[in-house]
Amino acid sequence: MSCQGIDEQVVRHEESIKDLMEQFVCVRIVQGNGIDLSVFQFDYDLTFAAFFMNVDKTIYGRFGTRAEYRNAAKNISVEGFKQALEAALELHKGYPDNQAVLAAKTGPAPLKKTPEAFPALQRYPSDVNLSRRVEGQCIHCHQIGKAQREIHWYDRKPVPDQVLYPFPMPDVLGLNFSPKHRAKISKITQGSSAEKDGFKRADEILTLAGQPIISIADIQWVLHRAKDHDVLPVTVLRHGEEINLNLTLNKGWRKASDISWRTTTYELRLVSLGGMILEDLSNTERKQSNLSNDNMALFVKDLMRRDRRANSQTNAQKAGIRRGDILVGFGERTDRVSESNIIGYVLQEQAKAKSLPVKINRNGNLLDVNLSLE
Amino acid sequence: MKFIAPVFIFLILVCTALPCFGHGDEEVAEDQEMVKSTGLWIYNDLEKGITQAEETGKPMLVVFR
Repeated sequence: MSCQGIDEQVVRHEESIKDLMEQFVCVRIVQGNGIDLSVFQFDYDLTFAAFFMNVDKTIYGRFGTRAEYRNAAKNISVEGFKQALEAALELHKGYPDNQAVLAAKTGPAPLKKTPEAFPALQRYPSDVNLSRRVEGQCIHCHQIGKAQREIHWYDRKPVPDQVLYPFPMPDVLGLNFSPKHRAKISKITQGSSAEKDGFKRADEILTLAGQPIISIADIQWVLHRAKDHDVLPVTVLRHGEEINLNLTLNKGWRKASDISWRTTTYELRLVSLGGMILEDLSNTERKQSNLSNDNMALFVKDLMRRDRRANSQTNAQKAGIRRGDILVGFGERTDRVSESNIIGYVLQEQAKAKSLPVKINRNGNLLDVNLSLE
Repeated sequence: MKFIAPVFIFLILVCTALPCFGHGDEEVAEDQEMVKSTGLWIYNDLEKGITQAEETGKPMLVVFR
């Protein structure tokens, strides 16, 4: 399912949100060119992202969350959007008295002020004339995220966690939210840090790290900006009562993020995996193949093509890796990992490596190959 | 047969690796027409939105698509 459904409902001011929408000045932006990155910092892999803001560019909140490739709209709904609209209007009524608590909703100075200032995007104009041909002129949002990453890997420097795993989903901490509400917990993962911190199902997050929360995207924003090891103060509404809790971020928490759905991961697979699309085998599949549950078993689900030229091979193909192979060792790693973990391992811990040894299980036989990295 | 799956995945990835909002000239034109026809949106002009918000005192909703 694409985001088209909710987008059309929003565009046409669908009946349930019509009265609320009329209280806003609605602006639709369809190009990345020229956007002010000191204000508009969001998850650039989204296909639907919204900002609620004051005319002075103070941000009341963000909306737009995605965690799956195929079902892009799984984590958003018109009901949730409606609640975010209501909450944004409340914040607008309270402005400027609430200015101080909203300050952290705007990010720090960006690496580049506009997208076209990134080396990879310099060929694009700072504005697009929509009455002419736009193909080749428009900077698409995902290109901004890609350009931010490229700055690091082209210099063979480790890609920072915040750039590689942007806008983490709160489920990495054990918190799952209902898309039909503003920020209401639908499930707590057993044994998670959130459970240990005392969160309960149906708690509604009102503030996180001092910021008013009006959507799941707002929670992601706070997590995006959080440190690698942190304790964030939280206010939740539980049975009509406000309760103060802490949300503990244990070292390395962000690395549990799944980035496989992201459009920008397409390029990361070419750069760090030689073009392999990998999938961690389930315990059942491992049992069938006589593989341990604790060690690496990454199934080569597919091999990407570099481009349309038939003779253009990716590094995985050049190394002789085939679809259906199972990776059981990658560089120094043999532990159980996801595809996202291995991408992180290459781009962070092996940023200077030109190639890495890969151990393959092919029909029960072990093979060693050398995978060149870009 | 064995080439169908990779080619299909390649095509899906290429298609979704297209834009923020989406797409080619035709899709942009269609989107522009559809959104403008509602009369409810300022299309691709943040400055105009800021001016209108200043005049009306309303908050802004800025959608990136």
